[in-house]
Amino acid sequence: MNIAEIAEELSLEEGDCLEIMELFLETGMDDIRKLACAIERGDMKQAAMAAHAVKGASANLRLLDLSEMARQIEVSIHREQWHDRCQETLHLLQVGMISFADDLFRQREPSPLFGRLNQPPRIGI
Amino acid sequence: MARPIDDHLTREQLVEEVAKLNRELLELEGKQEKTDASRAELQAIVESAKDSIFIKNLSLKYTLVNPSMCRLYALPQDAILGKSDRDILDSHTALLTEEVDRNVLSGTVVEEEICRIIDGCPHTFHTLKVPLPGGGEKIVGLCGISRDITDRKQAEEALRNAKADIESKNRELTDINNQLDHAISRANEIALRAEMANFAKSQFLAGMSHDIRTPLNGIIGFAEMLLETPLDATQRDHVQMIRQSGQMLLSLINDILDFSRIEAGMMHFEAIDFDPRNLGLEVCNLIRPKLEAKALSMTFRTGEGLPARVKGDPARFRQVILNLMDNAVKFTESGEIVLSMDVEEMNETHIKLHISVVDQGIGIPQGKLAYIFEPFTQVKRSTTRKYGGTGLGLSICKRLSGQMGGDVWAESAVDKGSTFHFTALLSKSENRLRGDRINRPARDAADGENRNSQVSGRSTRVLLAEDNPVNQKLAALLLEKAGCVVDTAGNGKEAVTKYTAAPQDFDMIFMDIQMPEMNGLEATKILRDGGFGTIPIIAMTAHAMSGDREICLAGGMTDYLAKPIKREEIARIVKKWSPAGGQDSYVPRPS
Ligand SMILES: Nc1ncnc2c1ncn2[C@@H]1O[C@H](COP(=O)(O)OP(=O)(O)OP(=O)(O)O)[C@@H](O)[C@H]1O
Ligand SMILES: [Mg+2]
Repeated sequence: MNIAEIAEELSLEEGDCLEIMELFLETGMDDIRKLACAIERGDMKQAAMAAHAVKGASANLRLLDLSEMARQIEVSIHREQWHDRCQETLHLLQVGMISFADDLFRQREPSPLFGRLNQPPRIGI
Repeated sequence: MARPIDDHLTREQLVEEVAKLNRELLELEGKQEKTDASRAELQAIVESAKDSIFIKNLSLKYTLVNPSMCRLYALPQDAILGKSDRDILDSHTALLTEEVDRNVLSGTVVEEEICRIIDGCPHTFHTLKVPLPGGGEKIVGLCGISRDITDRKQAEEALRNAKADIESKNRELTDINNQLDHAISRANEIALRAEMANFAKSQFLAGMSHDIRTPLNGIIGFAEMLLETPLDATQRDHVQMIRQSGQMLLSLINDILDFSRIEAGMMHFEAIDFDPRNLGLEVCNLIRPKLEAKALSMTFRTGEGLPARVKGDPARFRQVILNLMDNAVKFTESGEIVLSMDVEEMNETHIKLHISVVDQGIGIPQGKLAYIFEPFTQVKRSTTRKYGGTGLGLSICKRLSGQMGGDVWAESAVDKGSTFHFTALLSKSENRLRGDRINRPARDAADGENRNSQVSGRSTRVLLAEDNPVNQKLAALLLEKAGCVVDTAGNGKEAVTKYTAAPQDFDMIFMDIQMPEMNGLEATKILRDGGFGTIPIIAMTAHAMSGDREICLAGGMTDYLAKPIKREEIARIVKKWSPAGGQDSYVPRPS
């Protein structure tokens, strides 16, 4: 995930893009939490709604991995392939979200003091 | 069968007997021939029967024995006939037999199983003894048929044993099954818990990367700042301790994140140009401070033909080398550490680099060499205490190298030192010039673009109905960029309320289809039915679902915006349906 690239694709300023990304992190995590609970409860409707929400938002932000995983979950739910595939994909989605969070935090304007520790200088760019 | 003849018959009895025989003879007269034939037949059967057949008279003397019986007693026929069991068997057995026989003579049919030792082997006999009536009710003797059922008995016994065996096996199986059931339900329970734990872990990790890393960076950063100020020796020690602990924790967090990312196949590898030699030097610079406390020197050598540019993921490449170097320094007290970088293979498009890190440290026992690449393993328990670390470093290296088309392995001799090898398959750089900087396309156009995208004249006023905050925000931003003033609603109901309260305030409605409370189609219907026939209502929905467009248009919506939202699309639609029409000076961004 590269914020600069996504910002460019969405023709947003990086600051705005970052803000939306953070919003997505918050709501997306929430949706995934709901999704997991719904799957556990066997509440198909809730689960489908949560998966749909994650799918749409991540697609808008061009987070294609996440969107694809959420889509797969949504499809499995609609095909009533309830537990077989959902759990696994859900886990991937969760990890994907973490990965996204991590990317996001790494790319966020590092404070001049601590940036050095967190982010080894990139070369070649 | 010969008639039992009792030599102790009284005269009267004899008379009776004769009379009976007579009667029988008379009865049989007409069938003489047949009777003779049956008798001969019967005789033959008795003679050849495998079963022992005998007849005893009222004084329990044998009056008939067949050859089987003789064989059984191992006596000739004459030695049995006219004798009683007392003459043939031991007195104890004879007494028992007599008792039974008397019983039979009193009119009961007796079945008995008796055991006899024959030729030293126990044999079981099943004997049927029936009273033999003379004429009328009178009993004149008994007839016995005895069969050696040893084989059957044994078979039965074997069967019983087998049955018991099976039963006990069955019980065992049932036990095992129960245990299995138990184990399975336990496993399920554990799996469920693990699932939940995993989820909790995911949440935790996600939070960790933010919530822990941020303050941790604060701790480390301020510790570093503090170290720049005048401190006495103890204070300096303590602050250094704080910084070091913080750094350890930070690297642990990073490792765990990396690890779970690799495990989940979420690790992305970039393909950008970098200078491997530079990267090696950089690693050395990062490692150098750690040498100071020890009597260690460090050498970096590059082999012949190492290209100035390769294409790959420099961050991951560096991560592996840094880990290996870090270990080398950690596990070596004195001597030299050598980092080498060589070209192992090359073809038209790819290049395989071989990096080795040689140390003169404590080494690794042969038996442990394979394990150290497993997550969370260290050679000794004491390693953690003495050197710190979690044992994730090498497992991450192993996986990273694997994904870079290479491998990581080690050779080592205890107390002599270790050599760690790392290979990675990289692409050749298309860019031949050393030191070239590859720049991103300039992003300076942003400002001018912004100005261009602003609408001159009155802004289009949009009501945006969208439940998802992310989509709402993105759409709002893009709408604003297209020169709109945006008001938002979180669902269809809210949109209806907002719009109907002040229809004159809006030029256009953007409406998500799937929303809680009231969806976009319902909201549209209410608006259209409520007499708001002209306000453009633009559906926003996933473009993958074909037929959506038709449904939206049939539902009274004006136009259709496909998700994921694209800026050009939004701008086009705003322009198309704005009251100002084509007069807006929106200039689409050149793509
Ligand atoms: N150069 C080396 N010399 C001796 N032992 C080594 C060397 N490199 C690794 N080991 C052994 O292999 C183990 C695993 O190494 P690894 O890098 O995975 O973990 P770590 O260094 O203990 O912790 P971490 O890297 O997660 O901070 C080490 O604990 C150590 O016992
Ligand atoms: Mg290590």
